[in-house]
Amino acid sequence: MTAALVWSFATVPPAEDDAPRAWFAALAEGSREPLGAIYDRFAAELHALALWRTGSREDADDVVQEVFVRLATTGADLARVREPRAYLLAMAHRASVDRKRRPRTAPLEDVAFVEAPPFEPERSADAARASSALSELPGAQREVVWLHHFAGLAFREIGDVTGVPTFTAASRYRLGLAKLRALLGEPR
Amino acid sequence: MSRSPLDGLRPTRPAPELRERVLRAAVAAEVPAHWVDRLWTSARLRLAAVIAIAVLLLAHAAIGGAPAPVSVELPPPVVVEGIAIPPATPAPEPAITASAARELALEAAR
Repeated sequence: MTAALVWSFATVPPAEDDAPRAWFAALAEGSREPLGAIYDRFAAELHALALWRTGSREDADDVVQEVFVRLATTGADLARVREPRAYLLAMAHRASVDRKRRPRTAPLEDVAFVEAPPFEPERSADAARASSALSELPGAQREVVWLHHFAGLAFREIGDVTGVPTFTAASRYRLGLAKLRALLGEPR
Repeated sequence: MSRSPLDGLRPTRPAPELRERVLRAAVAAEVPAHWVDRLWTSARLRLAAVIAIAVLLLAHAAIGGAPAPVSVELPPPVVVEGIAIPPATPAPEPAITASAARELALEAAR
């Protein structure tokens, strides 16, 4: 009965913002059906966070896979998650940090952290320069820059996701952006 | 607000083929069983639990079991003006003071 209710709830999300919580509730009941919807909604962000933290596309792919495997096997605890997006970002952060600690077998590749938007190919050179400059930043600073600039998180939320005080998150952002500007030859 | 060097750019996205790989791995992942379920389904764990309980029982028997409870007869409480006063416990030995010790030492010297 309960499983049937959760199933119907999961297949027809009540509202866009409530949908992730409904998906998590269904996962907590043992259903694997919402994984596709969760991937479509969050995978790009999780991949970007992992890519900016680890500096490796291969590691970022592995992090996303690890997050989804953990999500599928966590079970009933997922029913208590109130902010699925923050929960997933924190999982991706931890998995990225763990991956960075492991000894690297493959050499670091040239990573494209950013790209030009569609229909603006003239900005491709800017994107390449920015990616090159970003690769010079420490992963912790790069991660905070992404979380603030692209994911739109406040420094307090970044602190929650990455497990550092708000001040540290803000400081990493300022330092990262200053270094990025210096590398790109822009005025501070 | 100052302009960021990242304005107008967007983060790169994962390869489309990652979706199938990730979802296949997540769907195939097995939920780790609860320890009670593992105990119930694993013959080895059941045997280990039985052996552990048997060893505990044997050890308990070998040391003669728990000491028998000793009952202590307490005198009935004294009731004064309707208030029950519990039986007095023996007063602790008074601690010897420094001056008393000095007097005792002098007495012994005499």
